[in-house]
Amino acid sequence: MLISFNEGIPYFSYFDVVNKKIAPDVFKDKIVIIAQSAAGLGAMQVTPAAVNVPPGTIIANIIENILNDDHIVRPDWAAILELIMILLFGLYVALVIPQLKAGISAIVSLVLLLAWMTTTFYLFAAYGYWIKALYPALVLLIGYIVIVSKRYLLTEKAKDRMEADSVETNKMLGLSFQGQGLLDMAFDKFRKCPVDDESVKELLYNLGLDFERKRMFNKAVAVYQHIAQAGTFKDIDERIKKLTTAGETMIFGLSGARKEATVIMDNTEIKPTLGRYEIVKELGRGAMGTVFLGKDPRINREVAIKTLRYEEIDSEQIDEVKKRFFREAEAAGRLSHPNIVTIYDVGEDYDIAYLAMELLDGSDLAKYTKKENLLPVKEIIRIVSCVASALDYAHANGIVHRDIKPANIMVLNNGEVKVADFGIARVMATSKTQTGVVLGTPSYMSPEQIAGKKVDGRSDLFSLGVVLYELISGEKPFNGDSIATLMYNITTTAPQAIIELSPGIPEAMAPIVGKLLSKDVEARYQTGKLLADDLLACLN
Amino acid sequence: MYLTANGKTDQGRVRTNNEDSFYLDEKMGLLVVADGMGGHASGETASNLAVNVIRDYFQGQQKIIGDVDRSYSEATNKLNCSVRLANQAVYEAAQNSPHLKGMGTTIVAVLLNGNKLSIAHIGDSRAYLIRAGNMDQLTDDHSMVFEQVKRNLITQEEADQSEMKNILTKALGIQAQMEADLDELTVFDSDILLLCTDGLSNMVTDKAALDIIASAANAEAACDALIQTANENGGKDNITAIVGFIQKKKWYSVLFKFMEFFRR
Repeated sequence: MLISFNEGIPYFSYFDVVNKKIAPDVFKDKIVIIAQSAAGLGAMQVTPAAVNVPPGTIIANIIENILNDDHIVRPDWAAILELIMILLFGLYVALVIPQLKAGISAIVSLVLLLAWMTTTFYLFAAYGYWIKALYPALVLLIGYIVIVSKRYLLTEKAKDRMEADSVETNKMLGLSFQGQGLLDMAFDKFRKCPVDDESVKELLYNLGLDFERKRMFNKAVAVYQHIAQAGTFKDIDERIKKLTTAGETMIFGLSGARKEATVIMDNTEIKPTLGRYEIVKELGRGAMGTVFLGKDPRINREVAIKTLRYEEIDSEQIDEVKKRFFREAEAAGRLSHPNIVTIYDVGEDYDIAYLAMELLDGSDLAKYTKKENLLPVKEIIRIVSCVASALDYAHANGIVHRDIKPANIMVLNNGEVKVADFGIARVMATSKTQTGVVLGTPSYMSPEQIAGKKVDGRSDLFSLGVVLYELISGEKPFNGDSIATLMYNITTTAPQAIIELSPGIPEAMAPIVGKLLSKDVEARYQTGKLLADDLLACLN
Repeated sequence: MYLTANGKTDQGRVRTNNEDSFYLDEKMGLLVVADGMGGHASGETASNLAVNVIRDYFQGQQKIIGDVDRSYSEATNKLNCSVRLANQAVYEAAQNSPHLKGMGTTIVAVLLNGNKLSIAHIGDSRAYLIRAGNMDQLTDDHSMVFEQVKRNLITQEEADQSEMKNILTKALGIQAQMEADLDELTVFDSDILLLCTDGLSNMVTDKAALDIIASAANAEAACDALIQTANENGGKDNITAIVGFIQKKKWYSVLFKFMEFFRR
């Protein structure tokens, strides 16, 4: 039996009682316990109620408990209940807390803990049932702490961010490049990683082996020497020795054999040729292919050579595209106008078709479209009217340019104006199976071009109108933050009146610009000549 | 939710090489399809590179690169980071090799995380969701004609006939920065995913594809049938399709995993 200790059980000294110091009434109808309590004779006990309790009082306590049925019970079901609660709390901690958000799980756990504690306390206070609350409570508390800290630690780790240029990304990108055979780029990436790291050395070593397999020995040596900066690694010392001697006696092959390598090579002593033209150097890249500076050895004249690579076009279309290319080149070649770039020759060599045309010594209009660099109105009128007469001539001969923009209009150092790329742009655009050509900015396209309809000379005049607008004001007539908005504006929105942007221009120019930029084809200038005439009239 | 998927790619009847790439990882719930473009087969390099970079990202530590968009989940942000990294890789490769200059690729990638599907795409390769007998296109093509249709400049029929059908407004690898379009979606048991390049969507109508997938025995058969139909209808481009079936994890699937372990 568990004793419920009460205070306030009166006790009296034996000595006092015997000496009639205590009134007999005190003991009337009471149970009296007589026991030894003197030090040395009776042992004092420690109880929850008081510290020094004589044994007699304890006996009295026990009798009192029995009489009043007021003792602490440890019920049979107590042990089972505790076990169940431990299990329940354990399951709660393991299964429920991970599913809840941090704040909610804290509140719920706290509520559970308090509920458990109050229940056991109440049972004890009201009924004397002694349920051991500690173990389940501990399970709940410790379990909660463990799960929550585990979750916290894990998410903290995942929050690690990587910079776009960090060692991990460079390693990853380097490996991807290596996997694609882009060994030079892989080397660039690996070089950005710290060499003293063993894993980096390993990556570099494998890259060196790849270079060796491709017979790029000097590059392999460069890789091994890079590793050697941080000390020796595997057999790189022998490899370096072996390869440097090999390099001196062998001719290095190029990486992979490409068909065009026979005509235009990166590092070679022989001068490549295209047809009868000598290729001196590369001038730039156009939409069709590369443009080279060439020399006609027969008449010792420098020319610009525009190339069209067959590999870029699908084989089914090749014949058609070739025919079209030569037909267009022939037509453009027949165009003889002071403001149109002259075509000298057209031909094909192995798998490249080329166009030899006059070399232009000047620059295009692109830089004059910036506000800080605008041309004087007179000059603008002169240039645009030259282009207009070139277009008029071409349209009369049945050729549409289709790609009029500042970059295609050249002003030479001696002041001449030349329109380039006549008709050639059309060849690429109509090749039907051309996949995934990403559109450059269509700022100069006419509404009918955007709508995918057939275009004629008047579409060129619209584009010229856009150029004129830009040259005068330094701003484009149609803008948009996305291609879709831009296209919408070209087809539907009227541009800001040119007179508002550049109030200083001659009065007669504003209606010209407006007419050129009409959405309705019929409302525009119908020929370039009419436009040129009106422009020149403004000069008076 | 778990994923059973299969994918296949085919050169088609007209092209001389295959510039499409794809990758799938059922365990990770990752499906990727790419359609490359560029001169002299650099399209192959572009699409391979993009797909491999995304694959390597998810096999590695999957750390976040660059900005995080808080309106999307962590999984979607990781998918976005992998696409960003792929863009960087393709762009840098294009800049540094003269014969790769101007190359690019489309990309469409989905990641299944529990019952949430993250979608990222650039270009005109598509992801579709088939649910309860309906097929929905999950991605908006970044193509000229799609924008025109959206602006009501032309009708859908005119778009299908348009000469400019293949011109894209966005592609991976052509600019130093290019953000993919992101989307998130909750998936349910017996949903089906279809990822494909325009070689499939241009040759096979949505309705026909739906019928093929519905009557196929499994993902592999579905892919084979889709590609066969596309070729029969002309096969004018490279064709790639990934079909993925989404199923709910049954409680007894844990037992199957247990048995698998012992079988080994």
